[in-house]
Amino acid sequence: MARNTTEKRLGILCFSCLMACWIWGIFFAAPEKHQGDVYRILYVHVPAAATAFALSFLLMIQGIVNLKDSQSDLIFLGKSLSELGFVFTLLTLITGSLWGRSTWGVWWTWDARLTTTFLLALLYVGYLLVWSSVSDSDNRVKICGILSVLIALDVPIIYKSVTWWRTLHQPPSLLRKGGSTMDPEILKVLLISIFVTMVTALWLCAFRYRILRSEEQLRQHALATFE
Amino acid sequence: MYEQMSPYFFIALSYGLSLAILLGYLGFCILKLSALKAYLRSPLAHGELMISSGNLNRPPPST
Repeated sequence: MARNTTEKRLGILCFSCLMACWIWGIFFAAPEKHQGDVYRILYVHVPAAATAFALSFLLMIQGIVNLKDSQSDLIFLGKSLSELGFVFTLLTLITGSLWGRSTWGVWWTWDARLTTTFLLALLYVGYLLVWSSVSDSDNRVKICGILSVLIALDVPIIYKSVTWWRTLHQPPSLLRKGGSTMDPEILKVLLISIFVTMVTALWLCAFRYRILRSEEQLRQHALATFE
Repeated sequence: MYEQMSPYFFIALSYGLSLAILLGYLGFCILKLSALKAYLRSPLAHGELMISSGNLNRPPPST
């Protein structure tokens, strides 16, 4: 009971901090010199992308560890990580599309950054489909493990796509040689937003994992009772 | 049409959709948790299926 209350309080705290970051970004952060106010989408777009990328690496670690011990409950962590990875990739694509429409004049273009991010979303969907459709535990762990490595491999390609190919998307301005090109005030709000979004995602992941594991325990209990 | 839109339209849409998606996922998780709790409270969770002997001998409910 106490654990549930703590979990609930942590969740409320995470979402409150996320809302505070968004309000800070929308109303109080300084406007950008070239784009004006529309750049404020940055505070939801970049944290969502960074979180989707971070989740893909966690998913890969989970997939590799789970391959060594296919009977553990880690497979449920894989499902929760991939669900959230898909959610945050979707957020990245939607907010990126809206930002693109207001700055480039198009909702979507098949440039390298957008296409590789779309591929990431498809890989997450593939992972979830395999998870739901393969009933044999060992096969599920093997296929999901391979998919988790593919998902993580796509992330450096997404990141380098703007330097490897000519794209509409701007080159990296956060993690680059010689430091960030961003205004320190914008950078401060952005880094805090990234941190808060990642913590919220981890909380959601832990919450979903607990539900998935409880469902499985109940299923096993029910099977044992009625057999 | 969208050329005349204020940048605030795109900002509001971005944050609004992001909030809707995140709250939608949280709502989905809460629904799943509520279903689990409801199952645990039900007789089914304690092995009392309708086909068990006790319930078979019980007369059907009057209409």
